[in-house]
Amino acid sequence: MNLRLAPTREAAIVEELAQHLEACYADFLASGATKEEAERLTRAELRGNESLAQQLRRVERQSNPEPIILGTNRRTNMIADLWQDLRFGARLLLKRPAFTLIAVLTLALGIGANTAIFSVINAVLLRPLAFNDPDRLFMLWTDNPAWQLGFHELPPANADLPEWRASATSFAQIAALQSHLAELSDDGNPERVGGVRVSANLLPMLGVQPILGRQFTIEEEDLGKHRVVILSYALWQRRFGGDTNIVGKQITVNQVPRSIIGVMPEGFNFPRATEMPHIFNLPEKADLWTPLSKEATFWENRVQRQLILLGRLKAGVTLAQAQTEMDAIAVHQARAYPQTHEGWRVWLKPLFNQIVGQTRTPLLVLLGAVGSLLLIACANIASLLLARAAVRQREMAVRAAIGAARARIIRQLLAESLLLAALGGSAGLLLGYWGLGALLKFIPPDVPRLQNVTLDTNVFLFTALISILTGVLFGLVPAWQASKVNLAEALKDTSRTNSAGRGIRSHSLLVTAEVALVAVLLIGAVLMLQSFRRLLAVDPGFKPQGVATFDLLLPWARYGDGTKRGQLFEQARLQLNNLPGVRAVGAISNLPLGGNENVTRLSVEGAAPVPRGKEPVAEDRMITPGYFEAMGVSLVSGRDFDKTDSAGKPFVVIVNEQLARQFFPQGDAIGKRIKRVLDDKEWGTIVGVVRDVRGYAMETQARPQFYHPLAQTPGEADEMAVVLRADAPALPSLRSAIQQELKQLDAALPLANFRTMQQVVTTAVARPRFTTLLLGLFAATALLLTVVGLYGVVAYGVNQRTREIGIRMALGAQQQNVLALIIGQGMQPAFAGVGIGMAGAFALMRLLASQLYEIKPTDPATFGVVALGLLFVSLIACYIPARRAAKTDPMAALHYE
Amino acid sequence: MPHTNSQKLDRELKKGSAELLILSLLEGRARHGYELSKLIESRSEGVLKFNVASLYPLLYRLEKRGWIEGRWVEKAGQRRRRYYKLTPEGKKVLVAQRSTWQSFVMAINRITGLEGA
Repeated sequence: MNLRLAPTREAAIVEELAQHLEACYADFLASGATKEEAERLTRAELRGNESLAQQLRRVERQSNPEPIILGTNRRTNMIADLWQDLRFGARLLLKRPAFTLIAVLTLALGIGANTAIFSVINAVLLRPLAFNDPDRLFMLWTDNPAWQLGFHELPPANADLPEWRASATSFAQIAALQSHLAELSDDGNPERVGGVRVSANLLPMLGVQPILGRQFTIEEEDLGKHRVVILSYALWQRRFGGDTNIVGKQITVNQVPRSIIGVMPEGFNFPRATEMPHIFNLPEKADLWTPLSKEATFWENRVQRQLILLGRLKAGVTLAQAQTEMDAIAVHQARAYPQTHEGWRVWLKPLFNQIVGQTRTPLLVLLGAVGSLLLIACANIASLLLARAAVRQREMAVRAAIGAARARIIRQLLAESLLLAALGGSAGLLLGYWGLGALLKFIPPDVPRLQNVTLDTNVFLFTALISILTGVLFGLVPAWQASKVNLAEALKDTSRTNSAGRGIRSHSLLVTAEVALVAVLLIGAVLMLQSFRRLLAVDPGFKPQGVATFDLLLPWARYGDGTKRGQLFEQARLQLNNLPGVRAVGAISNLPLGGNENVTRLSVEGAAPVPRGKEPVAEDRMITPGYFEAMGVSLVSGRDFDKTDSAGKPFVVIVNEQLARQFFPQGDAIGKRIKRVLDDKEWGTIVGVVRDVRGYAMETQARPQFYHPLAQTPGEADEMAVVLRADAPALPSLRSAIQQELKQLDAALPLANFRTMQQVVTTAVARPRFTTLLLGLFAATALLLTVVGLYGVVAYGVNQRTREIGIRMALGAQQQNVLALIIGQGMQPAFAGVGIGMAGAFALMRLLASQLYEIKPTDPATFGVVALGLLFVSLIACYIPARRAAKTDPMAALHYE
Repeated sequence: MPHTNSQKLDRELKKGSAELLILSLLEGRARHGYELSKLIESRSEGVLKFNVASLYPLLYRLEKRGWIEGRWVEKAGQRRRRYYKLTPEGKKVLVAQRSTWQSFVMAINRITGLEGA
């Protein structure tokens, strides 16, 4: 039986009557009644000869003689009810500005963090690739377990492409690509742009059409017909002013004229360096495509492995079927060409996984962290609402007395929560937008697909969804609790409604959940921090302070002769050495931590013969004299290269400690000889041993490395990284000084990628730094929220029990007893939470294992420190209100409120 | 039995006088519901009591008749409260009811011999 009043009228009546009851309750307490008595007497106010509901119904119907239609469909009133509930809720929120502000800010923090992280995940992990039918596109990698390189995405042999095209029936198309560093030199304005050589079918296979002009034809892969080029949209706009008549015009690429045949759509820069393994030395983004045109001998070569292959599966062919076929082909090739193909396998990787693979785990870890943060925020707000619900008991009693159904009460309270959540969500969206801006400034540049990050529809929907979910989550428990007012039972004297006790139980559960979540977060953050510290402590093998580096590319067209190249590098080195403040200059083919690699197989003279294909591998570097001095790499024994190690003289090499230890464990490497299996006709004599240098990544141990002088193999160099060690004051002006020197050597030589070695090292650890920083930030915020939450719950409990504490003290309890009681009870949920958190972390931290350096995900010291630290902080949060309680004056407490 | 009868008499007496009580208490100034219930209890020295279930339906009935007017008033630092005041119509009704009540009481006293006590 309910009143069926207009919602405004109902709300007004409830408000007025609730106030009356509040005033009654206060008066009863003031007159000396206990809380229970006052409660009972107050509820008696609602008792009358006729029920309140009946009387009100009579009065209201007198003035609003609505026809009473049985079985009226009430749905039309639900919207009006909801609107009214929202207005009522809004008024209540405005009346408690402090509570509303805290709740909205807490929510905004949690929702905003989720929005920012989700924006990145949406762009990087969720959005499909902008290609035609992208799930049919696969990388074709090879791998040879015997090489033990630590990564398994190795290029197929050159000859594999025509063979697989002919024999792999699973694929509709297989295409190839290769990095092509390009220098544009028209208008006397030399510029280095990222270029890629592609087979004619690559771009059509991806399904992306040029906006101007056309794709490559198969004929243009032939040498002689290959002097064509396709531009990216950005390059077309930037360098050619978006000229609509660009198709057919000529530009000079690496001193070779080429005809522009097309322009790709805006945003297409496939492939980017972040999307493929570092060893392929791809440009940051592709701005220029040229046909992959090689001599016939290139395609017959089974030894060289340089190309990136990708293919499109035929319709109806599954990955498993295609993999089975490629396995069979690999077996056949191993039998047919044992010298080059034995021990090699082929494996297929979805292009999507290729592009985003390495970032999936850290991004999902961060999402888990912000999700936990939001849950903790919800728990805090639920606690606040529970406390408020206790205050609104009068209002709930009136609602029940006038016949409001429990569902109606819950709906009204949920509407208030959803309103709060909507406010928090809106503020969170704004916070998320700013947060995203800050995030993108610090996110490591090698995270793929960052160019797509934006607040789009998906992100808005996500924010709206989590706002609604959080509103329901933190609103449901208090609403359920508050609506449990059974009036009939409450009017009976016998009921010792320990509603305060019930509230405290719910609070404790919330605190347990919060502490458990924050324990997991903290363990993750501390593990990452320790891992990162260990990473930073790694000695890279060189001294980066005071060292600058830049890339020098010598185009084949002008420096086709190897000797000329060697001479230019040497000249550049000498001239740069004369710059004021410069102590040493050298050059190297693959800068340590620079992101690219060159590995080769070695033969060691005098060693036991090794089956073909199983020779040991080593990193191959070409250097000029002065390199070791400039980089600060210590010579352990022997000597550095010098002028005598020139063309025509006996080949010499310098090896690192790791190689010397591995092959010459007696410590007698100097004078021994090694040879590159594939490239060298001559043995190289080891003349020096240097310290190990981290090559690929800071996390990876140094592998066997060897160095050979540029002067003896100048034909192999077209791009070198030049390294200069200079005094600190000279560094800022170094860049322009270098540019001037280079111009003197050759006006058309661009200076590219100028940076300090310190920056190189920083970039090398950018990703773990970023993850650690964010995880730490979220964990710290979560800890703060949890501590505040725990403090609030204990303080609330103390408040509720002031009279009880007063009685205890009046009966002889000492301050220590009260302290022990409050702290003991307050710490119970903390202990429970820590226990659950430890168990949860034990299970979950394995997911973090791939991100950790030299520390186990279940490191006992970390678990111990976090558990103790969390308990200590919880103790403080309990101690403060407990101390207040212990200082209670028993007389004042007995007359409390 | 006699107890039930006197309970019923109390109820009938209260019912008859309730409106007069409210209207006369509002004659001086506007008051809110709780204030009215406290005044009735204190001025009657506990004989008359109006709880929520009896007071508010009465107030709403008087309001609907146009004899009193309710208004939400928000004072600084306090929650808003609903204050009631007499309307001009209500003032007329009060005068009439007072006169009727006086005549009635005098008549009862004359019959029961309570006058001059």
